[in-house]
Amino acid sequence: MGNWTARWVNDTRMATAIRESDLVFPIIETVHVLAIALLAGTAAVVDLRLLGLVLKREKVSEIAGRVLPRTWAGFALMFVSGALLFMAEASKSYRNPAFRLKMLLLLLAGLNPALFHSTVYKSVTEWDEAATPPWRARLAGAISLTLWSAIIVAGRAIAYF
Amino acid sequence: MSLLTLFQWAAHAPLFAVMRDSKWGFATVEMVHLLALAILGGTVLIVDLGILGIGLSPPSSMPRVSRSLAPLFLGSLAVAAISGTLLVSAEALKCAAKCRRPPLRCLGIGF
Repeated sequence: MGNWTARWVNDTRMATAIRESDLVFPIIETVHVLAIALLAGTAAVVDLRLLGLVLKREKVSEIAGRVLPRTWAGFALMFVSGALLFMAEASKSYRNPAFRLKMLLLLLAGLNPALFHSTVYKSVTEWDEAATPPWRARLAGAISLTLWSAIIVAGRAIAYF
Repeated sequence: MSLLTLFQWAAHAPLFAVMRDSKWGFATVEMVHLLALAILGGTVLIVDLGILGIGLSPPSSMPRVSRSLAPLFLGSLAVAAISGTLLVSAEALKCAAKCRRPPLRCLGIGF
């Protein structure tokens, strides 16, 4: 089923056009890498604040409020460019172990903030100015840093399988 | 010593043999390079957008913000520079041949 869908996507006109163009694929790839800096870079700053390692004197809610909109912009850019890259190589990617691992990690990376915002972040007013936030917030930061690093590594590894 | 000599030396230096000969040596350094790029890009964005006043932090907090992020910025810059040098060393002659091409020129001007 998945295999069939991947082949169908692979053979659409748009996928073929991206695959066969000399410039379109590398341009989308470049946008995808720039989006990494926007998404993972800004997310890392928030995560490191949660860990109590940087910006200790700024409020957590203030950093999250100002930085996370940029992180989401990076996510949107990354998602769209990533989807286009996947389309162009759908059949190949579908069977690629690094690609499959990356999708699994992305799912976990999406669950982490959902869990964080619905639990410990609800009480942020109590620890907003703490240099070192409570352990559950630190854990969320550490998990997010680990997952995004692993996603970048898995993404680069796609080229080697 | 001209730049070309430097690249020719790098292409044959035993120091960089691992980068040339092993597939995973190159791949690993490439991954580290990307991770450093992400941190570098993130901190630069936060500080630069703040300086431009496009709202990442109120201008009054900028000195504090940039001081706190400085180790992150300098650390990731160092990692990116070292891993980048290793990546170039693996393909030194190819890179030397492309020295006149726009991407590498931009990189040179950037530095």
